[in-house]
Amino acid sequence: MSRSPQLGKVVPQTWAALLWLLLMLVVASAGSVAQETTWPTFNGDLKAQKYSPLTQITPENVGRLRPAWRMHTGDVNPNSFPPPDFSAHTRNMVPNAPKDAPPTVWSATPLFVNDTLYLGTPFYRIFALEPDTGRTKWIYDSKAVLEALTQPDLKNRGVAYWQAETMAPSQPCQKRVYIGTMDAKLHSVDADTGKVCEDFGNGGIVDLNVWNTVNAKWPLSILQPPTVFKDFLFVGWAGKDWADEEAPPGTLFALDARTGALRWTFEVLPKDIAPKTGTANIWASMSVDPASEVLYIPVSSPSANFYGGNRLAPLPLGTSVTALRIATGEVIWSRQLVHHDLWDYDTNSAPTLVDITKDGSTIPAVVQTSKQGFLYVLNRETGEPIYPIEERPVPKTTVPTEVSSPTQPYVLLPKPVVGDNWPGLFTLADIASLGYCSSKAKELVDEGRFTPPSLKGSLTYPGTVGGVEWGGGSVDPNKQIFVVNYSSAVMIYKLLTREDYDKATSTLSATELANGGYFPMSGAPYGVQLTTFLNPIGMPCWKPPYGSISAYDLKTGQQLWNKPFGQVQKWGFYMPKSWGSITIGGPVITASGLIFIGASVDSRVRALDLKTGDVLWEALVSAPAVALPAVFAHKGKQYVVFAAGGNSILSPRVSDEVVAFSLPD
Amino acid sequence: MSGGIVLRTEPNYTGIGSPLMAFAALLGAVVSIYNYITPLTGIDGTGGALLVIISSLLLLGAGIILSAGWVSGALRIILVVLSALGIIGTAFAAYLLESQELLFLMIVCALGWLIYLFQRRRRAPMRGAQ
Repeated sequence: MSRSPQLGKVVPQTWAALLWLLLMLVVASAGSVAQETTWPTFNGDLKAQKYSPLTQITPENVGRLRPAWRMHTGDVNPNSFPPPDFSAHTRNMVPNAPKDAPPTVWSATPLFVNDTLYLGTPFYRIFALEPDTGRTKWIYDSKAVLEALTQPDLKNRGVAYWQAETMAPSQPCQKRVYIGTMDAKLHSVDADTGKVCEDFGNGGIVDLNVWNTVNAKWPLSILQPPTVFKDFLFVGWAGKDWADEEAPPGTLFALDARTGALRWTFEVLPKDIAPKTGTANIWASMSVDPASEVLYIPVSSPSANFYGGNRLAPLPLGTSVTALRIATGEVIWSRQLVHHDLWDYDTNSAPTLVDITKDGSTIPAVVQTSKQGFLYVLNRETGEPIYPIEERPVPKTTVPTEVSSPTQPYVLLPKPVVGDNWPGLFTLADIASLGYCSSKAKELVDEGRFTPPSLKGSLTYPGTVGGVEWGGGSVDPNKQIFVVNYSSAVMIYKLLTREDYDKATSTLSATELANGGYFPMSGAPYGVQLTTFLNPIGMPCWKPPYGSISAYDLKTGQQLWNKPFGQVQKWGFYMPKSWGSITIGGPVITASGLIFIGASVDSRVRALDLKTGDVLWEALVSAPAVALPAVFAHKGKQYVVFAAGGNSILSPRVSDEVVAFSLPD
Repeated sequence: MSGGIVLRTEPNYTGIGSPLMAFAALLGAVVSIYNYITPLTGIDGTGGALLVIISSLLLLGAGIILSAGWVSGALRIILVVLSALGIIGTAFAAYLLESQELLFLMIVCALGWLIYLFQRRRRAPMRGAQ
């Protein structure tokens, strides 16, 4: 057969066309298939950037985001609110959960690693889920005591993950998941099977309370999962808020990830002063610079948190951000953010590590958000400010036996998320309460930022709920844009002499004490009453917005945009969007220019445009999502997973729901 | 107001206004009950959702009473005025609850109320002329 000369020309052209088509198909499919990424820590990575390089979900298609699956762990005690989906609850309900268990709050960030989604629950169980279906692979039950030994609710912020750098073949526990409990027992579990790792501590458990020997008036609790780096676990703890003047001092524990052996401890408080005070603990998550092997820790305030007559000696590491050498626990630098803290301005979120390009040079930076509303941008090698911080004179205390600091660090740039003075009277709330708000405001001491607590009652702005809470901020390391959500909450701090405190509280039940905002600070000459400045029908007496979200250009320190965020919901009624919402929980940025965040009172999760802050998508979940979403890709699909656990600070609505969102096929 | 005269002259009069009002209120109650008991409506289990269930049921009752002509005179006037307030209040609550369906039904309810009012006003002088 002779070959046609025409055919000879056509065939190569056809092949070329087919090849071209194939190539285009490959390119097109590569654009829609997300590259596999993990979310292996509470903050997404060790640097606490809360950033995902994924681009499958974009500002253009985010409106099509749908739940891929929902599941309920069953580990919820709603207290006053009925469980949102009882039929689903029964599937995984803990059969032996005590009927009188305290209410739960749940601030877990799901982890995605080892092809599995891991969650810790407020009943201190670990769930290993299939990431694309939500089906349970295994459950580990720590059989923890379900009592509110320290915090008023059963609380959990998830789990931590570790894997051996070199895997020993066919050996168990080469990959592990850790969960802490209300009584500070740290459990180590095989990440593949859910079986306990017997070689860790005592039968798989390390009990932190064996080291709780100074002022051990209450047990320590591990509510925040450890921070993991190489074979180290860095374990902080939570305690009982505002209960005692002398309390367990804020020790940080570095454990061996395999054996649980204590490698080193770091003491925040000087040994000679620690017995007279306490706390200054690390209860939030930490961050690590893997290159320099430095651990960055957010240190909380010393006890008694609203009175410091017992701790007049300098405590330079209290309410600080501190850098430690990972191998030894030695302090590299520390920057105190509040001197002689009288406001409970705990440093409460993991410092975010990012390199900043400023004036033509690259600076290794750490950004620390705070309850007091300042964003501290520091050189992470030295702790020196990249943008100016100055010492400013602040109001003086009038409380006998107290000596307040004459100055406090004041951040000039970036612009603080909350102002120096409270937002002012909300006329609607004042009218609705027949003038209660205005007359109450006149009674209170108000000298602006850092007005100390007083016997008369001090108008405190921001109050201990922030400012910025434990979600912290997130950063796009390429664009060097930092995003942070915050609350504008006005509180009243009133000290009561011991006699007055006892008189006011002697007939009150525990619930009445909590509702009244009474905290004893036992041992101190004063108790404290903490209340949010509301009128008698529960409306905030200060002008909205109550919560907002901001973006900053870290290259210049300038604010790019600021928008009210979320909606307040009371008895089901949504308040205007311009009022915003108090928020707890943080944002995650994706490389496609989106911000994913829950955090608001209205139990909605949202996607915002990184360029403008505009809401592009929102969905309802069972309760406020008060941690961070996990953003990852599995089998070519990008998922955004929220644990909708709720927190009684925001709303009585709590849940046990996990929701994964993705684009439809 | 001519309402009292009308009711005396035509006690069993029913137009489509009050039945429409009752029907919309019934649907409003159904929607509100659904919102109250169904997870993830955003208002499930809330006091606000409970409030609009009650107000919708009260409007349903008012619609039935007006349709049946069980009240007259001042009582009827009071019921008509209270119905208007109920519709406005429920619609405002629906707006704040972000319940678009209930808001729509309250608009229908308001339409029924207006029809009821104007039909009666139109018929009263006609009856007098006869």
